[in-house]
Amino acid sequence: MLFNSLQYLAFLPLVFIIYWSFNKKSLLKQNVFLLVVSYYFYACWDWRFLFLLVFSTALDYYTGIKMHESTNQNLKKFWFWLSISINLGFLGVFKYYNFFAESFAEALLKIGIEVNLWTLNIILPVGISFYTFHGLSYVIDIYKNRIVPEKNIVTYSLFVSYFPLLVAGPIERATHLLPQIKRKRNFDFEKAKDGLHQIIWGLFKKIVIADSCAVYANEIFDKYEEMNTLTLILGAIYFAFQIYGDFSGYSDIALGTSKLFGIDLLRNFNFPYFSRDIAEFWRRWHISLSSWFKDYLYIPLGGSHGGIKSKIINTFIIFLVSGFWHGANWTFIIWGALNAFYFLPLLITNKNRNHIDIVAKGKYLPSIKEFFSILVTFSLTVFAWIFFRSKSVADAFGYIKNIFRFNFEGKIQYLSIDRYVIELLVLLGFFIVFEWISRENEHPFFGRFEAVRLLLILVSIVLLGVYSNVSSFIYFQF
Amino acid sequence: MFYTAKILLILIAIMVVSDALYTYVYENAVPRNKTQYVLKLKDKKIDYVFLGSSRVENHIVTKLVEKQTSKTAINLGMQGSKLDDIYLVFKLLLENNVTFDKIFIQIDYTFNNESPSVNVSSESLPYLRTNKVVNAHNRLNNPNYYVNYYIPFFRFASNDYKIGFRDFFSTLVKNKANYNFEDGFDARNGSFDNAKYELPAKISNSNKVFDSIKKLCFQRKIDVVFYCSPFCSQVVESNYVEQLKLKIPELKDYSKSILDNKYFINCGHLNEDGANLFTQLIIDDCIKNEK
Repeated sequence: MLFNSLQYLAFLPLVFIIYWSFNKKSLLKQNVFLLVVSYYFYACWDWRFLFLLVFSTALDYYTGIKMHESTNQNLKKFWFWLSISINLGFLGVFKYYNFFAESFAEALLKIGIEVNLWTLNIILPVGISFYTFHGLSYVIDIYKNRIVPEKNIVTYSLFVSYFPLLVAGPIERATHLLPQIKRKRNFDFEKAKDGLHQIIWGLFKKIVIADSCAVYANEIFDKYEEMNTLTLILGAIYFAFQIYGDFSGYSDIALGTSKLFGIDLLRNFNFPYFSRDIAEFWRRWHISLSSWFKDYLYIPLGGSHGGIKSKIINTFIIFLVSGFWHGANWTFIIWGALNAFYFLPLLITNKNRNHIDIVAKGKYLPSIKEFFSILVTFSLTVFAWIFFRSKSVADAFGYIKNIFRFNFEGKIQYLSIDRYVIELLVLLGFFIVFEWISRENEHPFFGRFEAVRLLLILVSIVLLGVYSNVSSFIYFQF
Repeated sequence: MFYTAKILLILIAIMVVSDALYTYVYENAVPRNKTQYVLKLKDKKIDYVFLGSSRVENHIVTKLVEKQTSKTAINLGMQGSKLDDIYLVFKLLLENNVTFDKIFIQIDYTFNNESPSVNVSSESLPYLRTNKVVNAHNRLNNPNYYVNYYIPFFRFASNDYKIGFRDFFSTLVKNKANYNFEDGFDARNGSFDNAKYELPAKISNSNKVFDSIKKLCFQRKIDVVFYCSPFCSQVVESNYVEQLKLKIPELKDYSKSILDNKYFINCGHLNEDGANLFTQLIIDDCIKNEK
């Protein structure tokens, strides 16, 4: 069930009404109800993988308790590694087995050994990377004595399977979400209204911005060999807005939906394209994943302690793993490595925490220096997205090579989908203005012109939305 | 709940107003596609009318027909058009009192399909509430008829690729299509692409849309020529057209009439030279010889 489907349009109000009508007084009822609808939500995609989700939940629930109860450190370690290896084992089999098998066979072929390794004809269970990371953080936190295990199976199951975050995050932490699940929620009109506003803004980002950009970006990336330089540059920019609109739109709908039920989720995006350097970009893009890697990989590896060499190695590890997390393809790994290279100068010069606050806070416009910093950061990001979007490394290099042919013939290219390549720029300009206005908030519906902005966005959703080809969210595949 | 209801009401109001605005603009539009052109074409005599898909649009050189016969002709072939679309255009011509001496309908693998094409059916949807032929046609053939008719703006949103804001805006600013609708021929250029091409292995037992077209021609005593345009030499071994001739005995089969690939841009489409050659064949065979 997609957030941008008619099915969800019927599902959400129904769940909302039942939740607040019949479950007001009992926390258990609230949680049981949310858990049941969460499992239903997941089963709508493929009910068979519900067993995998339930098994993963039961495993972490049980091993968490066992670890806590262990008086012997070796026994504690045993339960810890059992959970980690099974969780990563599932992820490895479903997501990475074919990649490793194929890469291994290719490597052997290069030295003259031909092997015929088995590959698995399996589909990737939606959300597996997200709920596995949920479980991992929970187990690691217990092992490190940061939290105590949750004894209530309903509460824990809801923590893992809560439907707004189940398939594409944000990746929650037990310390943030569990206390909210354990507390009875009372209806808060302002919070629900804020949630509704965030859903509307998320829908706008997905249906209007991401899906419109997708029409053009897909055409340009699929036929990059026929495109001129300007078209290829615009194609990469359109993809940058597609993936941002798609994923941050999803996150907004998830956060907004959750607010309707009285639960706050971790913020996942904070206007990343207004970042003044790459370090700031990574503090604002897919925040829940970046912070997960920071807390559960970068810091355990030694973090910023130690010499510059270990800092560089740790940074590369984080970015490569982050790239690999997105998918079993060398394109993602190169994308991660490229971002690590972008990050290095800031790390070496110790300028990676220069920009903590949002740009031009309390001002209408950025300074010239800030403007150019944003432009450079955005350009670097767009360049890296070419690897992320391309089907193969060869395609990515082919795309970049064609950009640098500097072919400006037929300046405004007409695409075979009956569209001029340049048409979207007005829409994107409009979007950037709205984002700029809202950059100190979560969505643009605040202040004096709240109603006007809301009306404008609603009109845009109706008139400019892409409905003929309802597409899934990009991050569902991860 | 009241706040949600308020938002929903605003959304519904936006949909109602947008629907009315779009409908008005399309109703008063300068034609930007052939469907709109046919809808506006009224009380006119055209001697020869050619209907079908891109295998008509790219193949029939209207000017050549007019030059050689000294009569008027129009190419109403539309890309991706299927028999259901042809039937709709045919009914619209009759309803609008467009008269003709002879109508040419191109049929090939389209015989296997009774559903409308995305292109033509969506181009006709703005007129769902204002044109009785479009309405009746959709009521019979379109599974989304009721949502399209009763939910405001649904038809524009669900077909945004063709009649969304982009097309609406172009229509509003009277942005004419770069096309001569009175002629309708669209020449294709380029060399043969060698792409693999296969006709269906099996043919449908019958096609109710074809039967309706035939019935209408009979009732109105319309002189109709069903024909099949050329395919490249790679598909001449296919048995499909032979099977089609069994279904439509009166079919004029030109599928093997041009075999040299230099006249094609791909296996189903002729280039401009091929179109001239083929049009000449049609003129000689179906117009001059029958005089």
